[in-house]
Amino acid sequence: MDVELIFKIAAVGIIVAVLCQLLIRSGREEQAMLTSLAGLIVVLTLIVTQISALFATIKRLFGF
Amino acid sequence: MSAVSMAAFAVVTAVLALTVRSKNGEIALLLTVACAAGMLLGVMQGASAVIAAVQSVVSAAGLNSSYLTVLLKVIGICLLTEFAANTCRDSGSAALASNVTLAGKLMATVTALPLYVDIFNTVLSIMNSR
Repeated sequence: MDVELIFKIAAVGIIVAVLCQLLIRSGREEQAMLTSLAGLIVVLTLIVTQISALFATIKRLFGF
Repeated sequence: MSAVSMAAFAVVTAVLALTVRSKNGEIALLLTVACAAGMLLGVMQGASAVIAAVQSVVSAAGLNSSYLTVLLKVIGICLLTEFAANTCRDSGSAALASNVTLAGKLMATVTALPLYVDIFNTVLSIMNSR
């Protein structure tokens, strides 16, 4: 149970949103798209370990 | 993990996801997925005690323990399917969610097939002995 992970993901989301707005306002829409993609990948790498831990626990408990 | 902390965790995540959703929908979805995974992980630590208790009851009653294995497997399939379907539904693809549920039902039926066969054989033997 880690609240830090949730706060981390929310912080990444807010920062990426602000960066996207800035880049779009300054007319660099491709870079804004790439920034949002990078944020998505960062959050995905944060989450993948959590999901794999959940699936491993379910596998161990229910004897798959 | 206490019930209060779980409720607080879920509410905090909901507020954060609402904040992020208007600007960045994908990250809001991943936020809720992370919350669900963390919450289930925290609860699963307690589930092992329940399973151990059920196993001891089954072994004390002298039942066939392979039935319990099948039962636990089906419960695991239901859990995973529900998790995946809820995530799909949250992301807005309801058709995918119902297909995941359908596949989970099929997999549960296939896993529990030996039990059905056993019941059928028992009924047949009872009817033949009369």
